[in-house]
Amino acid sequence: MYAPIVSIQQLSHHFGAQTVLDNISLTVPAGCIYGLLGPNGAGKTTTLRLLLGLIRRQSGHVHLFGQDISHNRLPLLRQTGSLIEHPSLYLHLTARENLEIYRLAYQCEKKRIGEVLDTVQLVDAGKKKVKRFSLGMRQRLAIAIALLPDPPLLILDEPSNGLDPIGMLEMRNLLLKLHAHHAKTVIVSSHLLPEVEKIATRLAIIHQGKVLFEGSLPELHELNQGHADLESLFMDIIVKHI
Amino acid sequence: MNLTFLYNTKAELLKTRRTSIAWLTVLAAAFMPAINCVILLNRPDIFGSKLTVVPWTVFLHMCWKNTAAILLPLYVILLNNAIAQIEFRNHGWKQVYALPRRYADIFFSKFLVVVVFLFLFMILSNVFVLASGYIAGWLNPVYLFSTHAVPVGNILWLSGRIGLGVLGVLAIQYWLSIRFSNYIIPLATGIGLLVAGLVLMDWDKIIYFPYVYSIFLFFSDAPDRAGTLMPLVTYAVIAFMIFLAIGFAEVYHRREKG
Repeated sequence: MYAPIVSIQQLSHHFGAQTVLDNISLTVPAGCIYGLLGPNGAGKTTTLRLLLGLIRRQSGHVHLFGQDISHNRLPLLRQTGSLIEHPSLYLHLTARENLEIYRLAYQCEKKRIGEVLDTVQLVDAGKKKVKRFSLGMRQRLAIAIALLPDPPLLILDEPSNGLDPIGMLEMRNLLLKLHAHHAKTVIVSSHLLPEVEKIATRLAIIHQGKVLFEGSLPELHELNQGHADLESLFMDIIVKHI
Repeated sequence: MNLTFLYNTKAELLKTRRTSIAWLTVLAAAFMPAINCVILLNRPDIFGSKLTVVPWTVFLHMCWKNTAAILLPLYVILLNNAIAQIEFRNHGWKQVYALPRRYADIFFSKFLVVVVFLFLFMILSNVFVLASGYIAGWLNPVYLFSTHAVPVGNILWLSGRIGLGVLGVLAIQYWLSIRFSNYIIPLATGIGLLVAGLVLMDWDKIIYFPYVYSIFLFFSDAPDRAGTLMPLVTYAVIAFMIFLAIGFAEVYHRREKG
């Protein structure tokens, strides 16, 4: 059994009077693709932002690699690549220049730029300005940035959002390659069940700030008895909660 | 200053490549010298006699007076806005804060880039003053710039103290620009405070208003302003330190970053 790489215990978060996360607990074992599944506004992005220390924790515990992010921010972020919501890319610069900016911050070797461009299949577009990139290319470049320090953990918030079917397929294959060939633990949030179902080895269903299911895909399939497919099960879980 | 900070400052500088910031700096620095060159060439009957004894010093004051009053504070307002907007426009802040960088490193490396551009503006302003003087003298021999030595000491002293005077504005505008994603807020606040300072220049409490320090420091060597230099420099440096500290504290304690 793998040791947990991320552990969230009794985490709650409020924006003013609104409860965004309500006492959630999640465990992400090392070496898995962990799907964080839920409709828009479920609390996925807030959870991932709390994981990265972008939001100050109000209650509960958040541990990455067994350490509290609020006390060990720098060493933990060195081991974590991320993509939160829209890709953070400087559109007036080329792909290589964007990577150079982040390479300087991560202080990794220059050869990593070529390596990550190769991994996300953007070698030929390295000298092209990012504003001329398609959304799929931008998402892949954002993942290349996340891969620069060769981190064991990737946190990707809706990486398939807005992509066309081909872009979604490319993204799915890229995530599977990162997991299989580069031994990354990947946490990927999505509101698209078919996407998560095809790549995740473990998943959590989150809705209105509560975790409604956490387990492996086979465990979810066990619950599936009596449902035509996973999508109807997913809807059933959500509707029951409402 | 450690190596990490220098690497990150280099990264921040790289973000300004192919933006309008370099052009803004060059054009703003060239603006007053170019206008004054045209004025000299159009009115040699007036300025020929005025620029006979110490042509460089008079021309230097002609150029720096309006720069210190309006152009320099306005440039600082626009510069801070342009640099902060690189992050806002590209959804960059959240990724910046998700990097293994200290909050002080993030705040001060970007601020150092602003200071570098301000320094560049000051140097270019003086270069354009000299270029304009030589061009005016070349096109109209009544102007004797080429036969007089360039007063390097005067240039450094004048632009140095005006540069010190704008430091308070620099810190205030940097804070506002990284605080608000809507660029109108720091822009309107900065322009509003600059205009208010110019309107209220005769107010007895204006000495506490950082937006007028650069023009006051321009005049600080005038006979009727004797003794104002040190208080103005002191207040400018205090304003700079206070607002830089407020800006950093606000960023450091912000509950949601990016």
